Amino acid sequence: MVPRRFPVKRSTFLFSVAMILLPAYAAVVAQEGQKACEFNIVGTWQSTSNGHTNPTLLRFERNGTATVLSRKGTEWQATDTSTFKLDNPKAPKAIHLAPKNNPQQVTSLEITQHDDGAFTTAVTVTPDVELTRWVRVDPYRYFVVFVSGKGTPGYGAPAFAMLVKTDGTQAQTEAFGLYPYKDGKVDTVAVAPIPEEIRKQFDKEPQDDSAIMLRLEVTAGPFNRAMKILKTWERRARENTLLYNIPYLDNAVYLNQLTSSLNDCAETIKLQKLTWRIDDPIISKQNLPQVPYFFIKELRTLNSDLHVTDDKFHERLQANNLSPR
Amino acid sequence: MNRRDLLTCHVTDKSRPAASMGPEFYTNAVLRTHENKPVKFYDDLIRGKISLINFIYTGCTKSCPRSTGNLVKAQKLLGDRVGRDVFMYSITIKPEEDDPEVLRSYARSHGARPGWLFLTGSDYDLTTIRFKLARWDHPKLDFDPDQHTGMVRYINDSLNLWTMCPTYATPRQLVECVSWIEPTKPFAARLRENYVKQAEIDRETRQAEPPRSVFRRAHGWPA
Repeated sequence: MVPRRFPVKRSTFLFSVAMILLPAYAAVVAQEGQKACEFNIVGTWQSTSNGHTNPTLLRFERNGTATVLSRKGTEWQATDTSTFKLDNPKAPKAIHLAPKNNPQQVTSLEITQHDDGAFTTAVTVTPDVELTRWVRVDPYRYFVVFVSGKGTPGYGAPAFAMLVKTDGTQAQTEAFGLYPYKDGKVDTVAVAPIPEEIRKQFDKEPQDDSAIMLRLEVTAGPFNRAMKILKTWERRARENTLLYNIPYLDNAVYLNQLTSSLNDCAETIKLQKLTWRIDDPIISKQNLPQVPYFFIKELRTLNSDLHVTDDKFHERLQANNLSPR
Repeated sequence: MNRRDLLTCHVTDKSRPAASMGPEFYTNAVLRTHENKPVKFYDDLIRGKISLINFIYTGCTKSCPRSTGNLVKAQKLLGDRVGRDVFMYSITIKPEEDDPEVLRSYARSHGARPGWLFLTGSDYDLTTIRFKLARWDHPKLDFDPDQHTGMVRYINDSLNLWTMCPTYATPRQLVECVSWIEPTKPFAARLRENYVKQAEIDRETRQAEPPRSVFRRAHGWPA
């Protein structure tokens, strides 16, 4: 018997092919659109499963050793060691663990998701899949602070970003941006590291609309990316290689780059990007010296729930960050 | 030391032409050529030379192939001047993709000849150089790789003369732009060139005009 043929219309066939290829194409485009964020497992992690935080920590070291840490009184002590291997260190899909005293007994965990500060592993326990979320434990706390005075439309005011890293006892602060100063009798502005006396004026939240502040607590990933941007601009200021001849433009570009970097790998804040297009609500309406003020004001409105108030900031500055966030 | 050097050495740096903006402006960033040789941007590529510089990336499919194609033709027209007193540089704006190996195959596939270097380096240095030589002064355009200027920057470092020419110009125009940054010629030479040019224009105009008889017939006048 001759099998019956079902003719398929050419348009139907092409439509089917398109439907098959479209998700793949979309995935490629999405990957190209997002910057490559390499995963780094080195560090200490705490696991959470079924809503419970486990009292043990797992430390991954650069030499391929994984150590289980348990709390003894106030100290953390190593209770077990294994070797570990990731199938693809920069974008892992699986982690293979083998006890040091029995290297043949390899346990593999599937990594279903990872970002700057966490990753999730899946273990199939028939018939269910048990998901465990691993959150990075960092002895440091990180803050990104944006501040700007309102100033005047023609002259502006100090506008800069401050990056604060603290271990609970000592805080390191880097601040870079624009500030006005007097060059002889001439009022001028500089894009450079912010002098201590100007930085101290913005230690506390402004009480009126003459200035604006957005203070965020972030994890190590976004903080390090922001620091990289800050250091690049600091180098530009030092080597006289700032990109534009207009300090206000340099500063606006710098602040825009720094805020965007926070969201490079995952959404850290709700972002308002300066697009520099005619329909940009800030660029099209404000004078360049006041762009940072309105830019930070917009960011503050979008992220008011993430803003760290003065009280909380001072409290967290002195707190040792042993618990994961 | 001769008398002239003795009198001028305190005001000019002998290591570079007096008019030049020097490495303080151009930077002496270390770049890599498509032959994988390290070069200092000012000392090795700009100092005392006539340079033609444009910005590309090998993955660019919009304007770059046509631009590079035009420059290849311009290089042919410039003949043996390229590599002797005129130097051509194409600098990548995507160093993470364009390493010396990629640039070498790009140069080869377009038929670039010696005297034309394709350069890569660190993102910091390439951004610095690009913003110094060819920026729009508009961040939207300056940070969009697809919007990098389709222009060739011409620099005569000895005289600190700069000009620009679109890479879409004809190869002949690209070559002609070199003369804009060359030293001013003596009056007699310029007069002679002017005569030659005028004669060329007259000849072209005569060829373009219809013969007088055709014109008269068209207007119904007696031939």
